[in-house]
Amino acid sequence: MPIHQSPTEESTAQVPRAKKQRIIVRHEKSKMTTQHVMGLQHPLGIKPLGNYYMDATRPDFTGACRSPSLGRLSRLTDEIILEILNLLSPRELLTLGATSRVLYGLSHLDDMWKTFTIDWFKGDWEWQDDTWRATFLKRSDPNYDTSTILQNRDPLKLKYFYSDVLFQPFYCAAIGMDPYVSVENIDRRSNLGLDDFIREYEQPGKPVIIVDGAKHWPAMTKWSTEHFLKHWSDSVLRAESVDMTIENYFKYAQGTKDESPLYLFDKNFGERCKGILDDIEVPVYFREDLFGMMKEQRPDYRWLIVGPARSGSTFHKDPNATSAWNAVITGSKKWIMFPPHILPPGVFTNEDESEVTSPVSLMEWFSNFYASTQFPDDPSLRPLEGICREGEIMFVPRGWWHAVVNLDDCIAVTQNYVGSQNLKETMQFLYLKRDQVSGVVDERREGLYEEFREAVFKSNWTPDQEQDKAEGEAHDTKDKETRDQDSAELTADEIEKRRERIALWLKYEEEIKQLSKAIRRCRAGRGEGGANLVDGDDEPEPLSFWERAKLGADPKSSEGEGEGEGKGEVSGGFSFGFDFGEEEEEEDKENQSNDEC
Amino acid sequence: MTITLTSLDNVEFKVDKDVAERSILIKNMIDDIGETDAPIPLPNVSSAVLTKVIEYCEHHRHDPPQVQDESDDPRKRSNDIEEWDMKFMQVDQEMLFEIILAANYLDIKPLLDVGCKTVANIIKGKTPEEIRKVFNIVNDFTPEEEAQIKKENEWAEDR
Repeated sequence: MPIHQSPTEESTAQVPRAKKQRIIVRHEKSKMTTQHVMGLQHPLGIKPLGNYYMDATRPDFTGACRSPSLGRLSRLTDEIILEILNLLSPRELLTLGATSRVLYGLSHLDDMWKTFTIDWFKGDWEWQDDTWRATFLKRSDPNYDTSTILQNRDPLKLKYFYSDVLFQPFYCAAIGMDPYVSVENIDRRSNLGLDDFIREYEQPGKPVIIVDGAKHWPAMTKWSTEHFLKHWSDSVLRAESVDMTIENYFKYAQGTKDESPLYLFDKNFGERCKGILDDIEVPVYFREDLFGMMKEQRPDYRWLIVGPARSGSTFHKDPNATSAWNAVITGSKKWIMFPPHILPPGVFTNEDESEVTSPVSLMEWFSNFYASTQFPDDPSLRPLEGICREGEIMFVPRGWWHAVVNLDDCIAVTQNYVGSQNLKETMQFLYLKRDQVSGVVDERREGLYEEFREAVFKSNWTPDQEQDKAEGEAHDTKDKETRDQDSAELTADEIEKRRERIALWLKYEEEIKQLSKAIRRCRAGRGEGGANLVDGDDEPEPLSFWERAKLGADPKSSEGEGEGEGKGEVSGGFSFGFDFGEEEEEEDKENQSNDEC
Repeated sequence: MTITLTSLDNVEFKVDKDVAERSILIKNMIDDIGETDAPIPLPNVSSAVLTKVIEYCEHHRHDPPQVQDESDDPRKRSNDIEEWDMKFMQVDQEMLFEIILAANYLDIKPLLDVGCKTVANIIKGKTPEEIRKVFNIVNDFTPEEEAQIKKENEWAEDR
């Protein structure tokens, strides 16, 4: 999911050594030569700067038109002139464009008109079959005759104007993804058993494309542009910062020449497109989802993704250290992925990755950085790449950096989840990086860890916890009834499973708390937090009922609830060395953590 | 602590460190190599322009540090320029452009912004002919093209 974001977007993992790594090089695709590129014609005739030196050798060359056409402004660079143009209103921009050929060309940079359109009209506009400029003018004035723009296009070419700033976005859009799709080294598997999936991919955190993952979904035979227009054309969905009807979005998507087209990425599609959820399902590999225990309160987790070729997400990690799956229904997606500890080139983060900046667009990234990823000194630094096609499902392990580009018109569904294999990472994220928690309203970010905890403990209640509960704070009776009902139906297997989950949670929680302390020590040691943090700020979070129940074994911590029998057995026989009060015995762990700092 | 800057025409300027560090280029340079008595050469900036740039940095030496905000949409920023800056920018066009280029090179974002706003304000409210005149732009359209563009721009003239 996009960073938004941004943006948008964490842990340590090992570089997976793919056993069955396959590299498919499609030779017919690598014909993308400079000759091909040079044949590209910018609609206004703008050429890249390098062409100046070629043209200048021609006998009939009359000199670049930049200087006379810009007058004294020619002293400034194209970048600075565009900065200035960005300060103008649409009307002022049109006027400026009427002064000379070069200013005409500069004022046509469609990105500026995209911004105008979205600023003025949000998602309420109808795409005019050529440019954002035409779309803006038509939307501003229904009587505007957009055909005048099209008629003008031909005669008004800029002869001998060279500008990389203007040529680059056009170039990136025009060559598309062809040069970057030949490497496919992500495993592609079919008939993959659940246990094999967990052992080979989920547990080690390694991407895989499950080739037969969604082949049987009703969506595979039903979904198409026509289907969406027929059933949900008026449904309003979110495309980046704006809400649009499906009809308007599809019209745009089919006509756009944007280098980075608006990308439809909607989390409410289940409500807004009636019946759509019947066409899809959660694949068998991803059914264990602990966030699901939060029911409606879970952070945002599933999205419908629609976009034309070149649309996609720049490099990011998925939110809250979740893992994800992404099922392509129509079209195809190019994936490029780096393991959690390898920052992709051209991407910048601060120390705790709370801010990620990818200064260049997706197409620019491929054009500027892709080649450098292909021949690193250490082959293990090579990214994993692959194409996910119709009916296939991409598995995105927790913490992996990834960028995704649609290779053609593409409809897909994605969902983020927390299984037992990434529970620890998510817990750690929610506990330690509270300010980075996403997918919930701001007020809930700080306490999402505790909310999640409460939900997990509630959902994994077992009858033998009942006696402690009785002595604890009075839970509402409805809860109790549910529990009583549950307990009658619980199989021994289920009880065992629940116990294991709670045990796992508590084990991780203890490790995370120790890590948290160690981090504070490190910071204090570096003079970042003030020395009093070392001991003074170590108080655990206020304990919830279940937490206190778990702590029952230790009278010191449970104050008033610790007495009584069987406290040590609360969690059904597994033991947990759990003690907030003492630190000595944890010295080893902390030392390890200190080393990491 | 003072820093010595040398202009294109070899004039030395001694300025306080906090003034010099309004330039992110110079700040990064000092961060990298440590404080030094050696003059920092600025081969892209003439002494006349550097004098102006230093005047700006001295006036703004106590401004809060720049916040890097990539999402900052220039259009959403007001084109208002504060009074001192407005006066400061009352120079001939050649100097205005040189200041903008120097601000760009030295990475002094607020000065670059003020410069761009000043140019934008010159453009605002003028007809194409007036714009040509003020920047000495050659009208390189054919009469037919001009007529077409006029038609294309009817929208602008209506409002």
